[in-house]
Amino acid sequence: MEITKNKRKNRGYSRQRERRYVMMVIIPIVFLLLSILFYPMLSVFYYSVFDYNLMLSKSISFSGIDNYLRMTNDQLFYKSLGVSIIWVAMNIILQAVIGMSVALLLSKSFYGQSIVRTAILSPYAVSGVLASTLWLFIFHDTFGLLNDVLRKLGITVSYISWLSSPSLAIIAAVIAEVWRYTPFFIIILLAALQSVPQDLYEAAKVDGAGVLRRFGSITLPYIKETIVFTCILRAVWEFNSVDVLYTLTKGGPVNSTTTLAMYVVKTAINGSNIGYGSALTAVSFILLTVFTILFIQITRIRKGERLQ
Amino acid sequence: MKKSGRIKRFAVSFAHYALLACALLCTLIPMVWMLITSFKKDSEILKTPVIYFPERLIWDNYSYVWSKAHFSRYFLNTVLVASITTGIVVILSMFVAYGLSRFDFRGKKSMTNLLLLTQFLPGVMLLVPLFVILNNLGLINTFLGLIIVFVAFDLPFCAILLRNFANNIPISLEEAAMIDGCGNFSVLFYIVFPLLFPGAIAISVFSFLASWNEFLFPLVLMSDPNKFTISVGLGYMKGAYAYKYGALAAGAVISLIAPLCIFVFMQKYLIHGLTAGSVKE
Repeated sequence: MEITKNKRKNRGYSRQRERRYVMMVIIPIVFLLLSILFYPMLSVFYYSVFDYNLMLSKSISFSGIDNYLRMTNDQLFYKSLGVSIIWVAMNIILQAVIGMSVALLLSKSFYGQSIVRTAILSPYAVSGVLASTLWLFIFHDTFGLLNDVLRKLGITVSYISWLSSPSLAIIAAVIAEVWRYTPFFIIILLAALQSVPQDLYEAAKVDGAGVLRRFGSITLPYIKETIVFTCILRAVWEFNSVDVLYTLTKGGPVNSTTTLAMYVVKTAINGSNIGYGSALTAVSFILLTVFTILFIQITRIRKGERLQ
Repeated sequence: MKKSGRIKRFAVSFAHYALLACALLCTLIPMVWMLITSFKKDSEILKTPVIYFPERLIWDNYSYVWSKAHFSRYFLNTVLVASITTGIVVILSMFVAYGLSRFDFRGKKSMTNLLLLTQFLPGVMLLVPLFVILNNLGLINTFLGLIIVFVAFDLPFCAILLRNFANNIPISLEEAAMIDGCGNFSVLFYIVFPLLFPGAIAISVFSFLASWNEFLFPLVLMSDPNKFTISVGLGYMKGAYAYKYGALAAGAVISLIAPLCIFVFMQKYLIHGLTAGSVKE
C-alpha cells in the first residue's frame, strides 16, 4: 500500500492552504494532546525530588534524593517489584497461550461462528471493576461458586479462602485479569491468523505435514512479529494495571497482591505522599523503558541471526 | 481407508466444538452467575450450600441500587461524560487523521511516533501529576476536567486508527470534486468524512467503552459523590455496602448492560477498526 499515492501534490495555491490547515488544525490539537500527556510525565520526575505530602504539611520542601534513598531501604518496594514480575509473567503467559488457542479455534469456520465469537470476546467490554466484582462472587469463601462446585465434586472438604490467603489471592486476581484481557489477544491473533496465505496450508497437507508441523512451520513464522509486539504492549499495560487488584483485594492480604503500580496508588492517593509516589513512578517508568528496549533489541538480534 | 478418515474427521470436529464449548462456558459463567445472584434475596445468597436457582426472581435489588444507592445518578453521569468525550474524540480524530493521511510536513514522522508512544504511557503514572495539575487549574471534581483527561487518553489511538482508514480512501475522489469547484473544507465535510463513517463508528465504540470503564481517574479526580461515574459507584458499593451482596450484583448488572450491548452490536466495526493497521498484509 503506497501512501504516497494519496498525497496532495504541491500545486501553487493549494500548498498554502495545506500549510494553513496543518498549522491551524493539526498542530494545536496534537500540541495540546502531547502536553496533557507528556508534561505530567516530566513533572513526575520533578516532584520526586521534593518532600510533598498533601496531608502532613502544606509546604513543599526540596529534599533531593531522599525519596530515592528511602526506596532503597523500603522492603515493600522490593516486595512489590517481585509481585509485579510474577503478576506480569503469569498474565502474559496465560493470556498469550489461551489467546492463541482460542484464536486458532475461532479461525476455522463452524456453525454459529459469529455468535460464539461475540460471546467469547465479550469480556473486553467489561471494566476492571466489573470483572473483579464478577469474580468476587465466584471466589468468595462461603457463597462463592468455585468453592461450592469444588465441594460438590468432592475435590475439597473445607472452604478455601481464595481472597484472604496470601498465596492464593494473587492467583484469583490473575484469573480475573486473564478473563478480562485475553479477548484482546484473541482479536489481534485472529486478524494475524487470517493474514497467513491459505494455499500454504494446502500445499503442506498434500506433502503430508501433520497439524503440529503445519502450525510450527507455517503459522508461527508469519505471526511471530505480531505475537511479540502484542506481548510487549500487554506486558507494559499489565505492569500498570491496577483496576482489578484495587477492587478485588486492595493489594492485600498482607500486600501479597501489591504490584509496584498498586504501591504507587496506595502511596500517592491513599497516603497523599506525592513526593514518594512520584519517585516510585519515576523508577517504574525507567524500569519499563529499559525492559522494552531490551526486549526489542533481543528480538531484533534473533531476527538478524536467522537472516544469516 | 475412507472409514478411518471419516472417523478421524468426526473426532477432530467433535474436539473442536468441545473446546469451543469450554471456552464459551469459562467466558460466560461469571456473567450468568452475577445475573442469577442479582435476582436473589440476600438471605438466599448467603446460604450455604449455594442455591443455583432461586425460588422467585425478585427485583428489589435493582430498585434499591437504582434509587437508594444512587446508581441512576451514576448512570446519567457516565452517559454524559462518555458521550461528550466520544463526540469530541471523533471530531478531533477526523481532522487529525485527514491531515496525517494527506499531507506531508516537517516533523510529521516524529509527531506520529510520539502519538504512538503515548500508548505506552501508563495511566497509573500520570495519575499523580495530572491530579496536581488539574488541582492547580481548579478542575478537580468537575466534569470538564474528567472529559479533558479522557479525550487526551483516547485521542492518539483513535486518530492513528482513523488515519489508517483514511489512507484507504483514494484521493481521486477529492481531486474530482475540487475540479468541479468544491472548496477545500467542503471536500472534507461532504466527501471524506462520510467515507470515514465505518472508521468513525469503530473509534466511537472504542472511546465510549474506554470512558465508561475507566475507574482510577474518576475515582481520584471526583470527590463529590454526586458526580461519580458508574465504575466508581460500583467500587464504592463494594466497600460501603459489603453485606448487601444482592444489591452489589444488581449494580454490576446495570453497569454491564450498556457496554455489553454496545459491544455486541458494534463488535464488527470495532474489530475491523482495531486490526485495520496493526497487521502487515
